[in-house]
Amino acid sequence: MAELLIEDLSVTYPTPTGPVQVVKSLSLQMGAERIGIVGESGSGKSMTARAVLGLVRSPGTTTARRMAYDGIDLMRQDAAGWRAIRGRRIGMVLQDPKFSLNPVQRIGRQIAEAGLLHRVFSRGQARARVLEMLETVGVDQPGRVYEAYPHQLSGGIGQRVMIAAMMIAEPGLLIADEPTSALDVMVRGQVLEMMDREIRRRGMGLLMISHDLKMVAHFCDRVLVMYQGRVVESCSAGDLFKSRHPYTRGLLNCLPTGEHPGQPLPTIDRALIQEEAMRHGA
Amino acid sequence: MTIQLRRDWWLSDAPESALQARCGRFYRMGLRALRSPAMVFGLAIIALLVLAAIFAPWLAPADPNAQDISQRLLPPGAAHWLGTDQLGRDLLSRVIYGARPTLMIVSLVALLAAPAGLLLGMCAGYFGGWIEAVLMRITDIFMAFPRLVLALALVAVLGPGIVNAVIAIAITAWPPYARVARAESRTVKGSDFIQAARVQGLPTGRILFGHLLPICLPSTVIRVTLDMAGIILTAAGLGFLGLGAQPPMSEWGAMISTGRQYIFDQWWVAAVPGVAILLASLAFNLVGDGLRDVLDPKNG
Repeated sequence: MAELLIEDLSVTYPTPTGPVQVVKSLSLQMGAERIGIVGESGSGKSMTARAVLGLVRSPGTTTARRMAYDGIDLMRQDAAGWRAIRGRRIGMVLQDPKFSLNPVQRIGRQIAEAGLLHRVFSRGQARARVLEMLETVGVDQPGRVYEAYPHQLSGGIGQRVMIAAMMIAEPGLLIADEPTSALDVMVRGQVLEMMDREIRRRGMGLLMISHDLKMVAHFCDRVLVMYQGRVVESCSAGDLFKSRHPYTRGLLNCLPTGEHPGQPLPTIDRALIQEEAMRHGA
Repeated sequence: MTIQLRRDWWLSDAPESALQARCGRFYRMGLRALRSPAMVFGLAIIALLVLAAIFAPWLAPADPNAQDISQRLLPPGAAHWLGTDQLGRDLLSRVIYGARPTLMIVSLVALLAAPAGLLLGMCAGYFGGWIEAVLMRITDIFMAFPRLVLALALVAVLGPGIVNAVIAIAITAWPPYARVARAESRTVKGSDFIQAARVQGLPTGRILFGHLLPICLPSTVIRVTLDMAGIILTAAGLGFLGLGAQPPMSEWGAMISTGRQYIFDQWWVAAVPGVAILLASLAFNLVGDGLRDVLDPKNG
């Protein structure tokens, strides 16, 4: 079984006041399971995902004691090596389908592209494979969507198309960077359920990045909570709501409930987290 | 679904097929173009030019190179509608034949310069860093020279002639296209769908030509139509200085140049090709301008 192994991953950016670590010695080991990474904006969730795919742009630098997927060393890849991994071994679903589909290309061609590139199927089979894939991701009229341009699709269908495009080359691991935050609440659940079903059926791994604690708790096996580039808590999804860590508690307290309507939501007490961190460090 | 000739089919608000919708869009675009008299005028002149170039042997009343010294420098009249030049050649025929080198230069320059500029600009915008710095500084150097002066220098090196004139003008014409394409690809480069293409493992060449090119193309095409007039003027300028088409080929710039000697007594020798250049460049300007309005979705 393909396994993603990360030991001591750091991503560093130089600034005029010295280097800043946006991901600090993150370690992770995952097989065909579903792991959620949660945290506030700027906590390093997305950067972790980008580092796994070698997409940290200069001047940022990635360092790790070890980072490997299925025995492939992700720290020693040249451009050609990365092209063979991206899409084929590890796929990534981006946030907003409005921007992540090329506006001047038909959907069918965009989905087929990665499959043809990685020689998963031949040019002659492409149409049938894409239509089949569109049906799998729950598109009602695959023939129509195949011929359509991105602006003719709704957000929900667009994100299904994105997922289809990322799964067509049959990667073993899917990274989803806030896959539903651009969708409205009704569609969100449907898309997630479809994605969950397909990932289970294919025995894939899922690394889901989100700020939605409830969603992650519902769809993932394990949850990593990140704060300021560091993993502050790692627990099974079922235990997330029982967490005692002040940051996780803070995040949970910020969720609106119907219990005290009209009350302002609490904010996170950063001094408390610092204190906790100091205690842990000592 | 077949195309029908009924007007309401073309203008239907509820098209029954994608083909009908597309036909309707072009029909509406055509109607919008026809509402602008300037564009109709420009289109008519360009059509006339193209027809003149294609059917020159049948349209011209006389052989453009047939000399008749006894008939030299005749004013416009019944025998020679636009008069004759210093060698007794029929000016109308020479103007009609002159459409050929002009159109040839314009289309060849567009075919050479636009793809070159597009490619360089796209690469500069996409790769950034030192590649962009080097390519754009080269572009700046080319743009720092007045166009005609640079073309002159190039023709001086390459030798006079119509092919060399095309090469020289093409070398001076690409920088604006490179700038347009660079701006466009810089804005698109950061967008998520380029990111998505990279995440799927697409090689750089496929991202450039498959995803970036179709987006950079429209603005470059419009820029080219607006540049046509400038190309005509540069070509005529080279002809006037004796560095473009060589005699006895009839080329408008060269014709003005010979007419210059007689400009005070026999004005028509220089005026006839001059008017032809004026009309041709005006027509291309009007059409370029009109095209931009028609293609602009804000201009309903």
